[in-house]
Amino acid sequence: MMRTEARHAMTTSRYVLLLALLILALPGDAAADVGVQVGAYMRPGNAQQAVEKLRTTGFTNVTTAVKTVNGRSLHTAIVGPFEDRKKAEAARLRLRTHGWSGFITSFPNLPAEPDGAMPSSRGPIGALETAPLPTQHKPDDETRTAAPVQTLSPHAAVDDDGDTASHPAPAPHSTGKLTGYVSAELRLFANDPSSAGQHGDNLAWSMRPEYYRAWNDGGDSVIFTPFIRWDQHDGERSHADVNELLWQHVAHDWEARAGIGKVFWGVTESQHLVDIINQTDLVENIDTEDKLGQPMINMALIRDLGNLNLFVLPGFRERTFPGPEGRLRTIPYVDMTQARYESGAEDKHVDVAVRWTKILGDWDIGLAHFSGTGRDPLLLPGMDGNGNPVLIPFYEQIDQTSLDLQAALDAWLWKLEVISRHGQNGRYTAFTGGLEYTFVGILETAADLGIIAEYLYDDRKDSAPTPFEDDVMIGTRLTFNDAQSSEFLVGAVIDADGDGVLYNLEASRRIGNRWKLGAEARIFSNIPLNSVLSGQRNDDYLQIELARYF
Amino acid sequence: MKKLLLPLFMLSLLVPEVFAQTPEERGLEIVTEADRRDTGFGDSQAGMVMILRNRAGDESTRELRVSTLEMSGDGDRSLTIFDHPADVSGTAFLSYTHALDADDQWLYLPALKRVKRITSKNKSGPFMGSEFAFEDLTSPEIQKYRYKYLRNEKLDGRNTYVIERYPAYENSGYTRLVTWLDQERYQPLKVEFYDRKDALLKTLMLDNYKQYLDRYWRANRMTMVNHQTDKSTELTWSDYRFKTGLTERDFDQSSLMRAR
Repeated sequence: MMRTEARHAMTTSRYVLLLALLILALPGDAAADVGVQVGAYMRPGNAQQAVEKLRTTGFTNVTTAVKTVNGRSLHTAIVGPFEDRKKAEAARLRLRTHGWSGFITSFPNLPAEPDGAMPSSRGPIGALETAPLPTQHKPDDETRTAAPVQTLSPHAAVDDDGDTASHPAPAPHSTGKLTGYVSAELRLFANDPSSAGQHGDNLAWSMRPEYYRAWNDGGDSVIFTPFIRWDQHDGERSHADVNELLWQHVAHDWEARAGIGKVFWGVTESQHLVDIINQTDLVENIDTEDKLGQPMINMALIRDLGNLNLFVLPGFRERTFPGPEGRLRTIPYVDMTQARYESGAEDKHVDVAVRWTKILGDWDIGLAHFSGTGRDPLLLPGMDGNGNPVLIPFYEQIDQTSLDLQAALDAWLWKLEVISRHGQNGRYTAFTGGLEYTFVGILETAADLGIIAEYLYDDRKDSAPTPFEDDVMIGTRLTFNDAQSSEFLVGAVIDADGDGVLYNLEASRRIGNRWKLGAEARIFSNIPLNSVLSGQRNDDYLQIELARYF
Repeated sequence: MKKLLLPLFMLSLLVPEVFAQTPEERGLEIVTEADRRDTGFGDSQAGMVMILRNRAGDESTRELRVSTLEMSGDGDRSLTIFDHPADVSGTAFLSYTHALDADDQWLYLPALKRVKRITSKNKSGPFMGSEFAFEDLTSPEIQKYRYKYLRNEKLDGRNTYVIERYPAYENSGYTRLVTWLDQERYQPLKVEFYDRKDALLKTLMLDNYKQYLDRYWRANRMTMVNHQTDKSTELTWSDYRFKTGLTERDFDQSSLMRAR
């Protein structure tokens, strides 16, 4: 036993090392030099003029650099590089005494320039020194110079420095934009697993790039968001999905979407009863907030009476479940390969949905109906090929009508989600309702403290295939409002019949500009053997996640 | 005729008052004129870079884009899209300001595709961890404050009216704001914010003013210094565009969800 643990620990540390290397190998914020930016100009010539003026004032280590701000190129004059902030600050103060106001910023990666020896023709902007300069420029000069006779565009603005900025039509990111993240995740389990074949501590990584491109003045766009997860032990959790591959067209009073998309409906925090378009990617997290992409055709009618969204959903996505080697699952495990359907069309059944939403002052209202394959399967006892017990997902046909309501009254947020669902076993009703109150600027700090309380009810009571049939959720969210966006959320879902408590903790903090550190812990306390959550009684865990955004 | 009237009207502002006017009336008069001059811009779009600095000089940046729609008979509507830092890229914030009623605010979280309503009690809370509070960045409707004219003063070579403002809306973090308003452009050059204990909390300096459509002045740089924490935030605006043809449709929940 000892030996296996030791070997296991070794494998784990090897993976930690590998992951660390992987993350370090990503293009990072190198320990960059800093500089003092003293001006940003639309025209390269003006940046160059500033550089020359600075040189004559004695600041020899000055150069021009192109910065992209919101997709537009700005030509900056920047003094530096300095090896640390202190030296840059000293230079900033010296510049100030010469009438140049500047701020400290990271020094762009330019080919190194001999100190003041050459004009900046080797910089990234080669053809700068040509244009004759229209006006004398002093960075802080606010007097408006005689406006150049230039009326190319009615939206042209006359800068204080005489630059004329002519503006193109608003078309953000018309050239396409790639964003996303790569993330490493470590789950530490407090107890030995309940079932043979399950493992202890677990490493995983994931990646979600997103490509977005708009054209037709933003009227049309496509988004592509694949997702990949690799898990150390659970073969079912290692998976890939297309979260989105969606074309969208926006007109004045209607919108159309086609492809694979993601849609969220609802208002409450503890669970999401009303949210039904997308299947839950349960292997990702038991909080059911991760979703799989759903093939859809969506038409939205935008009217004064509210927005009406019509959905046709061809193709059903099966819920993902942890495999036999995964933690945080039922015992026995769910055998996805044996999934059964009520509909003869199985996963080809075409579902439909309609949703009406309206904002009425302080109120947000949503009414919806869904008809098709239920997203949450019944789990039926069965056998795998070797005669071992498994659970088999059974997807029934359902009709679900839902209402979600939210009101912002003073500092209170009131929330309600109600569903009425008709399936094979008749009709049932479930709801989540509650409130959120925020104390702003607690203890004379910038931090906010939010209190959340919700009640979860399902009229099938103990026969409900959900643990949340008569439960109270209380939680508190601490938002520090600091530069790192630090947040802390702690809560508990308490079963009113004494069937256990699920504690939940989430925390996150940005590191630098591109990294985010997250922590998550869940504790399953006093879960009885007959509970839906009984398989997870020994699965208390702490998760550390480090993500790099690009 | 119009050409004659406008200088005449402006001249009348400089003529010593014939009728006795209380400092409160004078303050309201000046602010009303400032509001009149800024009316009719229709809509605007601009980019913003925010540099946050703490006491130690550590910096972090935010990049966002703001669209604003002027509403007649109500406060302006605005849609703010975050581009940087990367982990909040795609987050968007929709706000319907009202003169005295609580503003309506929604936040869009792209990872969950979820729109969340936010109570507007957080007026005094920091905007994105900066030294700007939400209430510093919403549209300054006249009815949101009571006013008192204090004096005329020269600031950096420009003539200003010094006016005190008292928030008339609930949940403000301030007892009063002292504004140095440029007499020529009717735009603020400096604002001092006094906290709930009436201690000086922050100073805002506005410069790099540029004029758009030959009428509307906008400060392209705003520097807020918090005197109690020594933190500061520098806002640099770029790419101001006016009358771009935005409508209410560009400020609804659906546009919030597809903001990019």
